[in-house]
Amino acid sequence: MYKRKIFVYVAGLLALAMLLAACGPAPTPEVVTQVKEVEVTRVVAGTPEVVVVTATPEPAQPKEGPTAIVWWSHWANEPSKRVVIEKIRADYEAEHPDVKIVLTWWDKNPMRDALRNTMNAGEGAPDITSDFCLPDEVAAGWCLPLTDVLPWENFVPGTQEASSYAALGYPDNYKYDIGLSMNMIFYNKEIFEELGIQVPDNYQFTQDEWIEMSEKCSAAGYAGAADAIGNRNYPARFPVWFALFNLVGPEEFNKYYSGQQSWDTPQIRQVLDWFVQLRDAGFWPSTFSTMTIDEFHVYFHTQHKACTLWIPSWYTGRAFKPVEQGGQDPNWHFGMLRYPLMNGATAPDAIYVAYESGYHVTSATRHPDIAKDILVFASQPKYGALWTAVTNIPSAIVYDPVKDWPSDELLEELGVVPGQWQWYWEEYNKVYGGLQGGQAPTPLCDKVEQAWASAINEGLPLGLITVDEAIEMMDANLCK
Amino acid sequence: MIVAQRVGAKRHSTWARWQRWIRLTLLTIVLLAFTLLVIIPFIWMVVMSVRTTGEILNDPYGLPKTVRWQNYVKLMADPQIRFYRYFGNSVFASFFALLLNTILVTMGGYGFGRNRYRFRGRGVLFTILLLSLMLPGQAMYIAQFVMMSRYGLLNTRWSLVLLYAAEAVPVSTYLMATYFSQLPSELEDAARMDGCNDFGTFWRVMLPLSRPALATVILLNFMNFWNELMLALTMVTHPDLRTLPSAIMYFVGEHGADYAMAAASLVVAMLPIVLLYLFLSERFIEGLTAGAIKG
Amino acid sequence: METKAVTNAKLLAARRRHSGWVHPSKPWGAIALFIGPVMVYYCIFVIYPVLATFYYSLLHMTPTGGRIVTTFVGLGNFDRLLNDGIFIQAVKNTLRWGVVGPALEMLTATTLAVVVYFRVPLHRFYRTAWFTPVLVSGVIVGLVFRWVFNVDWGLLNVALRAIGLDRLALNWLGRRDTPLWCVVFVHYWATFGYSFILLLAGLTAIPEELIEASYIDGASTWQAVVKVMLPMLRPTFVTVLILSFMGKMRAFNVVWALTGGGPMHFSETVATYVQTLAFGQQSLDLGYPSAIAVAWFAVVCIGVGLLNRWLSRRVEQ
Repeated sequence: MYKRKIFVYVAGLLALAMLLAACGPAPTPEVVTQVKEVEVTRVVAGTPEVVVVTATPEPAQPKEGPTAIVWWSHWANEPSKRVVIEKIRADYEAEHPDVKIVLTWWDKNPMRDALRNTMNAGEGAPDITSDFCLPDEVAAGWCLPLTDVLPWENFVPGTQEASSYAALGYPDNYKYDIGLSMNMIFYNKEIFEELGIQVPDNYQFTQDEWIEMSEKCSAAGYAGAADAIGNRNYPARFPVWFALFNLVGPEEFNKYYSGQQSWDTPQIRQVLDWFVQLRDAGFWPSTFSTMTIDEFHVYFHTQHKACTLWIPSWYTGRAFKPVEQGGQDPNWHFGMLRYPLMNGATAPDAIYVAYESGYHVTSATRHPDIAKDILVFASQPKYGALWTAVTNIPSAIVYDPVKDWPSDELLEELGVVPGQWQWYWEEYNKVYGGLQGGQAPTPLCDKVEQAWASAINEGLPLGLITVDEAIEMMDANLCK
Repeated sequence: MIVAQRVGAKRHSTWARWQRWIRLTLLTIVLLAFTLLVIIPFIWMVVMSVRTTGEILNDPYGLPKTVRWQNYVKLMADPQIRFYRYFGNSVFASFFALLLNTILVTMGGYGFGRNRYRFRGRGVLFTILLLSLMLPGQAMYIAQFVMMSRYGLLNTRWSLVLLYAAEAVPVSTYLMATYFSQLPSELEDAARMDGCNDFGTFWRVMLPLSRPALATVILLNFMNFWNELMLALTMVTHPDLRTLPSAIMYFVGEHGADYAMAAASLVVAMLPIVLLYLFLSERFIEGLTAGAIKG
Repeated sequence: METKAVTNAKLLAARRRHSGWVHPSKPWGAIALFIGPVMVYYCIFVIYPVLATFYYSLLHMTPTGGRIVTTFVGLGNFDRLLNDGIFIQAVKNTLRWGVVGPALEMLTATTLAVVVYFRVPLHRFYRTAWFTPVLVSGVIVGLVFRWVFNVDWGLLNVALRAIGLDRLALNWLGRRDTPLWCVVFVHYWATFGYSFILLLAGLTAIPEELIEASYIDGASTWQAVVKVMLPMLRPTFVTVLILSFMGKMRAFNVVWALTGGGPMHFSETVATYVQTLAFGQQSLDLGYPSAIAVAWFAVVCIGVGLLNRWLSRRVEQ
């Protein structure tokens, strides 16, 4: 009975759509100089002094008086980092009583979704946020430049270059960095002893030795590495990164990394072939595709089910916390290794040092000067020292280890147990001390990022594509 | 049931009766096994939720050493989790959406269902109303997102209220219309004789008589609103305002390593609907079937 | 409890039988009052967005702070989607699901409905138990089954290993070929109860006399079922089949929670792909996902139309 009418109306709607399409101008390619603005309404909500954060049970925003700055940060479950940022906040508020900072802690993925949602809507977005300002977001005008704002001389040399998107056409800097992300390899001492694996004097296994080690580990029921990709799209990339870095050196690596060079080279083939051999030797855990980042940390440091863990230095933010919260036992010491020594390596002693997530000022802020000032305040050397002292992660801010180091009273107040992680630093200095750190630029255009995630993070380790197909995928998504 | 008894009655011999018993027993075993498979995930979840994560990691299928109700307390009370927020948001969104939707569809169903209100284009309008049943949600929600953002309703629970109510209009109106169309017209005439105008007739006579259909509509819609995910994910991202389905997605996504808490969160989200169902199962089922048979 | 109105109604009915029936003039005010709000609301929140989506599908658009920056690209988006490997994969997956899913569901649901119709022992319990998965949110179902399919300690693999079928204890959610079927199965688990109940109701509506008549004519139970009940069930069967098909075409909750479309888009459906494009963490363009939604809408309409035509023709025969 209704069928005929349904068809008639569907046909009518489709016809209307075709008509609309047909009557417009000829289809133009995507990059267009003319931009047509359709809507201009921007709803201004709340009073001018207060940034509205809709309907939360948190204490009500003051209507007059202190200016409220909303600061979103992920790292919700990394207590040591929270301590540092909260201290920065407390210090700033003490010095500037007319500013109140509302700090909200998030998990990474929900925060990214909320950022997209609120920036699209034009309200509810924070003033300062972490994990933002990817190239597309910069292009959409969602980030304020920090080029002439931050005291770049306070930071480790190369920080300013690393936070610029010049390669993609955006020469400004959009990021405040506090932590360095140094890529490391940990190993389980007990398992190595049990399997009779000897660590070489220079802490560096060759690429063939890595295959052997994986085979031994998986034969005994352990995973070669604990890394897994359940809820992050990068952990499986580490072996490729480390090996490529070692093989071609930082500069060439940068080009491959950011999609500025074709992947059809013998060096890439060498690395990817080795990567596939690792997989076949049982390198990845059986729950590789479903374990989340929290789970695979636990897999390594509590369940002791893997020989190694390939992880950047922010491991300590996640693992150096009470065991009930998912952290590791402070008395369990693991060892460290240098990168796999690839055949024909040009930079065998280089270590890949990049940057952790940092903070950005969004275009949604109504108090850009104050927001920027907060980040400038946070660039003081003492905060770099505080960062390292509390989180056990190297800092992007240069500090004097004697003058700027936090006092014992402060550390006690912040809940840091003295000497608890001494063994970690001893091992660190032993294995990585004196090595040259090479840095990779962070901006990746979207296509390259997606290709990395599909081909290297998922495709190759899961055996879904071949090496040739992976190279094709990377080449098809170059970022020129 | 007559038919089943008839089948049995035709065969009187003892052997045939034994055969029948054996067949029934086998059938029951198969069906019970099937049912077990169907409900086992639930049981597992509930058991996991009263253990500690450490226990679970060591022995995923063991029985709890002690029954830890603290997991639930922690879920609700822990200042970093505060699950009660999500509950409150789901209740808010579902309640107001139900209210809005019920008002619209009872009146609409009455207008579409009664012969008195027939007019030339009514069938067409009714068809248009039903059209959106064929639309995948994706066809609408992008534009709804833009609309909500333009009116400043993004990241408020009202956006969910408005959109849920809209989503449920077709089926609910259809159900109400069908039910109203079956009420005898003498009732209308009698009411008019008593001095009611059209709205009075509706309000005083027809609506009270439509309680069965109304209950069905409310139950069905409540179930759909409570469980709705897509709009909840895209319209509301602020943690304090999330509804249960979207909160659970993120909670288990980010805290999935804490299996006990994750399982507890799933159980808590399921509980209201399951309890409601256990109390009202007849009504639920009646309601669902009413729509389909007549269609 | 007879109200005055009802008593009056009976009197009036008696009176009417003896006199003529006079049509009153159309009560337009009342019509507007009753139908107006619903239609207006519906137009604002459903019709307008649908038309807007059609419009957006012709644009490249980026909402920015409450404004929308748009570029007209005509059919460019549609061109793009025909060449989009992921979209094609998603379409293949969804269509495969749309064929296998309803077939599986209808087969089992009908069998179960027939069995329960005959009032086997515990039939009320079955009815309640089998409907329970329908109540539970797709999110919960997806998340629980992620654990069930876990390759190390998930329910399925542990059970398989316990009965010695180690070889079948695969990495269900991590391979190339299995995630889609996991999705199909989990969604089936979550929704078969609904089809079952509807079919059971359809069976209950068949007049018993027909079945009794067939027994009198000497039919066995099996023949009664196949020759009498199933044909009478056909209209309900068709309705349920179409509902099931439509449901699979737009299903989102379970897929999103179980696999999110992964790994590497092997379990991507059109619904999850639109979600990823529009609200995921990739590009900010909303025009392209709108184009996909429009294209898919057309496909679903055609699919339902074909199904309808194919099945109803058979009914009339």
